[in-house]
Amino acid sequence: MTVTDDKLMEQISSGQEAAFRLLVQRWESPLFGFLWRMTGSEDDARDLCQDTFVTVYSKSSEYKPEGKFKSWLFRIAGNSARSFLRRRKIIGWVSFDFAKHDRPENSGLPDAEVNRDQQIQILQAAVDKLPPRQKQALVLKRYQQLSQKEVAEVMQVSESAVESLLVRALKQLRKQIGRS
Amino acid sequence: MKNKTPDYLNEEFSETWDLLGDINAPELGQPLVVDLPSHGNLFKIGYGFAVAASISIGIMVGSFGFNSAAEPGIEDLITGSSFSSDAPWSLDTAVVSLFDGEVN
Repeated sequence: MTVTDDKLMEQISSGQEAAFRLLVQRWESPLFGFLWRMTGSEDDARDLCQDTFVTVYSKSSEYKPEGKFKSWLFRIAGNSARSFLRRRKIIGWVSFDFAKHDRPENSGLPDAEVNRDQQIQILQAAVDKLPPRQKQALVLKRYQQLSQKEVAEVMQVSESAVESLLVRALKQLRKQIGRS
Repeated sequence: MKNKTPDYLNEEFSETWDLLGDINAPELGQPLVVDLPSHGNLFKIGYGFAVAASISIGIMVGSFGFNSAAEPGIEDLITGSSFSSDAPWSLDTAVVSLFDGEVN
């Protein structure tokens, strides 16, 4: 029988490092995927994963076992990622891994001539440029398979606010791939 | 990655939603090794701060004592209030010396 996240958190707060290792093992991949999509950099995603798990460990005694560990975890990670993006914006440093490759910004070709790969590249670049909150809502909903309610819990906003963030993000992305 | 477009999103977004599924994230690769701050490390960090703070305070106190005893402070330089005519140097003399090409 699988030990629940809540149970693991209880064990972690009582100092059991084995429980912490198990929790890391369970969540490292989804967390890394989320943070990579937020930052666009493998190194930054790894660093933020590390920070997130350290925060989970240090705040384990504050965690309320209500079966919402996933939301709690992604809230910590999302806050770290948004702070990171703000800092990166301030210092004007773009470290997006795929930015190292040539990619068409908007090639000006007719829609029919822009193949799917190019569209994906354009879309990837456009996702990077989304405002952090729109990006967070989109990534949580599209890739982490969170429900509307869970995204709202993670972001501490209403469900209608999540809907609004998603619609604005998708409008922007749609425009970028030439479907305005 | 298949994931149904949420009902509240218009059909106009379904193509974008599908395309987003083709952006693949890299694999984590090496498992994550989380370095937890141990009590020992915290002690070392605390000890380091204490030593650094002591040295800084020592330097500040020392330099204050030195300045007040023998040298004019920056405020004195600006106001010129505490200079006597036989002071070793002042802002005025320093500026004049610069124009004269001397290094005072």
